[in-house]
Amino acid sequence: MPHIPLPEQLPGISSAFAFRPETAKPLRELAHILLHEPNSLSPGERELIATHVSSLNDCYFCQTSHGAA
Amino acid sequence: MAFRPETAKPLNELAEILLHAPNSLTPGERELIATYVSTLNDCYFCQTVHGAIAAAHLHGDEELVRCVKLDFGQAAISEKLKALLAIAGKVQNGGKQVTKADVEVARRRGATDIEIHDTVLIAAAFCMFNRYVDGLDTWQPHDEELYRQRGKKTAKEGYVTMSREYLPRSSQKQGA
Repeated sequence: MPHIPLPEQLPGISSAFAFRPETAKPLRELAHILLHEPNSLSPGERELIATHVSSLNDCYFCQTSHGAA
Repeated sequence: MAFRPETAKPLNELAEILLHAPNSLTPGERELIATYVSTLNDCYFCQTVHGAIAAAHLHGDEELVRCVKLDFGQAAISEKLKALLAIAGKVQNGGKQVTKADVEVARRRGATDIEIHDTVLIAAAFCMFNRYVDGLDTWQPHDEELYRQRGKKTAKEGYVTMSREYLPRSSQKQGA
C-alpha cells in the first residue's frame, strides 16, 4: 500500500505523476529531453546510464522499466 | 543551467511549482525543506541560496533557518513541519527509509496527502539538484551578501522569472 492514496493499477512513478499532474509535466519533459531527444549519446546509451543509477539506488521500478527501454 | 537551457526549462518549472506556486505549505516552509535536504547533501550553493530564499520568505529570520539546518527539532516551527522535515531527511537517506509511522505522525499533525507528496518530491528533487550542482563542480562564490540579495529577489519573483536572467530568449519561447 502506498503511503498516500495514489491512483490504483498504475505502476511506480506513473501513479505519482497521475496524482500530481502539475509536477508530472516538467518531470516528463526533463526525462524526454535527457533520454529521448536527439543527442550525441544514443537513446540506448542514455537509458543504460539511467538504469545503472537506478540499480545503484535499488529502485526496482526504475531499473526494470529503463532497463527494458 | 545557462550551459544547457533545454534542461533548465523543466528544472526551473519544477522548482517554481514545488517551492513558489500557491500551496497549503507556505513558500518559507517549502524552502526550509529544500534547505535542510541540501544541508544533509552538503551542497554549499543550494543550502546557502535556498536558505537565503527561505529567510526572505520568513521576514529575514536567518537565525530560524540556521536552527532548522542544525537541529530542526529545537526550531520554532510547527510540529507538522517537523514531521515533514523528518520525512524529507529519510528520503535524502533513501526513499525506502520512509515508514508508515513517519507518514502517520505527519498526518496526525495535520499534513495532507498533497503536502506529504510534495515533501517527498522536494526532498527527491533536491537530491537531484544538489548532485547536479556538485557533480559538475560549479563555481560557488562564498559571499553571504550575494546569496542574501539573490534570495530576496527569487523569493519575490520566483524561479521561472529569475531564469530569464541567464537563459537565451529563444529557449524561453519554446513551450511557453
